[in-house]
Amino acid sequence: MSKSKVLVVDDEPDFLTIVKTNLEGTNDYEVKTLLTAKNIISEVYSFQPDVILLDMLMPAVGGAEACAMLNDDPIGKNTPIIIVSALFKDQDKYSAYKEGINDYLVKPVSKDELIAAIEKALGHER
Amino acid sequence: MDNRPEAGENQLGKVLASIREGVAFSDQAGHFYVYNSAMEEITGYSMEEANACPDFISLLYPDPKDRMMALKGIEELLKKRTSRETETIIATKSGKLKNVLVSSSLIHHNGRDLFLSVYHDITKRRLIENQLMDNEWKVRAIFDETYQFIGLMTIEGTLIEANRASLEFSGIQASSVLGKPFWETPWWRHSPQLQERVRQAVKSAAKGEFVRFEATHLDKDGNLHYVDFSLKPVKNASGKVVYMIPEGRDITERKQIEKNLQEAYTKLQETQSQLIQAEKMDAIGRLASGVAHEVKNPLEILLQGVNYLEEKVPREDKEMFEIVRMMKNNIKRADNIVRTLLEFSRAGELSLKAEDINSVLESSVDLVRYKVNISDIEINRELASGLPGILIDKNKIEQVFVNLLLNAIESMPGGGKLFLRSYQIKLNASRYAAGRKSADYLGFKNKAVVIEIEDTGCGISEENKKKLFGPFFTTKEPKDGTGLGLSVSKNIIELHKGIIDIESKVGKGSKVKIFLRIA
Repeated sequence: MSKSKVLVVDDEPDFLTIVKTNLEGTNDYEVKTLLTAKNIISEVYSFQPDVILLDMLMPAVGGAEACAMLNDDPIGKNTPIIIVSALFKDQDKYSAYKEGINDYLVKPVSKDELIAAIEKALGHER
Repeated sequence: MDNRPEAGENQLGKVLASIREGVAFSDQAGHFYVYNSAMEEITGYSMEEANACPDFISLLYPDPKDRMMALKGIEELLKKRTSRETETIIATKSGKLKNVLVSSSLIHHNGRDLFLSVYHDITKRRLIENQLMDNEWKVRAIFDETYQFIGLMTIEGTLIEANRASLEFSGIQASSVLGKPFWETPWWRHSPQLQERVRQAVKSAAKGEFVRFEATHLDKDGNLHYVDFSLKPVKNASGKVVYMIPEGRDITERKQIEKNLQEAYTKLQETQSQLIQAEKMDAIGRLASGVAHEVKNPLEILLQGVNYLEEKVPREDKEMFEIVRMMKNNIKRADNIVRTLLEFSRAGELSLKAEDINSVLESSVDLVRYKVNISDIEINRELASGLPGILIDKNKIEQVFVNLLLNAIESMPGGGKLFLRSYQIKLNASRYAAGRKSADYLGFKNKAVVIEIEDTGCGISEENKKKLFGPFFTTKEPKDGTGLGLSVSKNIIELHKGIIDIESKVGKGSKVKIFLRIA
C-alpha cells in the first residue's frame, strides 16, 4: 500500500520536526512540512497531499485564511483539512468549521490521536 | 361712753398681752376696741391708732374687694351667730400685704354685738407654701414634659407615678397603671420574658442596685420601639431604699441608624472583597488567555516528543516506561491547568437553555461514577419532582457539579454518604442576597431552585472556609488538584446570577448549596 501524503503547516519548527518524525516513523505516511501557509496552494500542486494538517494562529496567513484559499482551489477544496491548534474556544472552532474542515484538534494532541484523526479524514477509519 | 369690755382689767390685759396671736374686739361699723400687742406687730398700727379710727377695718382692707369680703363675713356672723374662720389679706401700716387667718366669733356685750377676732399671721407660711407649690409645679413640669418615660414606684414595685410621656406613648390612662405592679403594666405586656426581667430588676433595685437594659415597648399603634430602660433606687438619708425610679428612653431611631450603618458597612466590605476578587479573576483571565496559546504549543511538542520516546523504550524496561508515563501524565496535567484557567477568560459566554436540573445532576453523577464505586460511597437522593426548567448552560453547570461531587468524594476516602437534594424555595433570608453587585442576582422573595450536595467527609476548617473560593487554593496534593475547581464553580454560578454557599463542620462533613434563579 502506498504511503499517504501529509502536508503539515505550522509556524513552530519543533512541532514540524516531531510530527514529521512520529508520522514517518509509522512507515504509513510521507510528510512534508511548511513554516507558513503563504505558498500552500503551490504545495498542493507540487506535493499533492492526501490530507493537510493546519495550525490556526500563524503569521501572515492564518489557518482559517489558508482554508479559504484551499476552498477557492479546485484541487485544494477536495483535500481533507485537519486543524491542529492551541486555540480551543468555540468561536475559533466555529470559524474553522465554517471553512469546511474535516476535524479540529486542540493541542496538546498525542501521536495516537493525531493518527486517528488523519485516518478518519482519509476515510480509513474502521 | 365705754363700750370696751373689761379691757382695762389687769387680768385680761395681761392675758391679751401674753397671747402671741393678734386679738381684737370690733363692732359692726369696723371700730376696734381691744387690740393687743401682737395685733400691733401684725398690723403695724398701735392700739391708740386703731382705737382712734372709727373705721379701722377700711385701713386694714384698703382693697374694696377685700373689705367687701370682710364686711360680708361680719354680716354672715351676725346672721348665723356662730364663729367663723377666714383667710384674708390685710394691709399693714407700711402698706405691706400680709396673709392672715382670722377666727371671729360674736360676743354679746352690754346689749351690743361685738366681734372677737384672733389674727394669725400666716404670711411666712403662705410664702413657704407658695414656694413649695412653685417647686412642685416645676418638678412636675419637668417630669411631665420630658420626652423620657419616667415613673416612681415603691420598693415592692407598685407604680405610684408615671409621667405624661410614658402614658401618651402607649396611649394609656394613669388610672390603669398606678397602684399596679410595674411588670404587669401595659408597657411590658407584649413580652413575658421582659415582664420577668422587669420583676427581677425590681428585686435588684430594691436592694440598692442600679439596673439598666435594652427593652422594647409597643406604642399606641402597636409598633415595636426599642427603649433604653433603667431602674434607679432612691435612698433616704440613712441609705435605705425608699423609692425606685423607672426610666425609659426611646432609642428606636438610633438603633435604626446603627443598623443601617452596620449594614452599609458590611455591604461596603463585601463589595470591596468582591471587587478585589473580580479584579483577581479578571487578571487571571487575561493572563490565562494570553499565555495559553504560548503554553499549549510547547506542550504539544513535549507530548509528541514523549510519544516518540515511548516507542523507543524497550518493553522490559519498566522504570523507563514508568518515567515516560509520568511525563505524559504531567503534560496532561499542565494542559488541564491551562484549560481551567482559560475558563476565566470565557466569562459571559453562556449558552443558556431551559434544562431539568435533576437530569443535569444525574449526568454529572454518571461522570464521577467510577470514583463513587471505588470509594465505598452510598448516594442518597432527595430530588424534588416537577421542578420548573431553569435557564442554564448545561455543560458549565455540569462542570460545577462534577467539581463539587469530586470534592465530596475526595473528602471521604474511607467511604461515607453522599446526599443529593433538589427543591424549590422562595428566598426569605436576605443573607444570600446581601451585598450582591447587581439587582439581577437572587434576592429577597425570589423563587429559586436549590441543589444540595452534602457529604459526611472531613469537613472544612474555619480558616480554610475563608479562602475556599480563592483561585489556587487547594488542600489536595499538587497532582490531585489545581486549586481552581471551586473558584471556577463560583464564577460559573455567578455568571448564572446564582449563589453558591458552603456550610461545613470539621469531622462532620460539608454541604454545598447552589441557588439558581427560576426565570
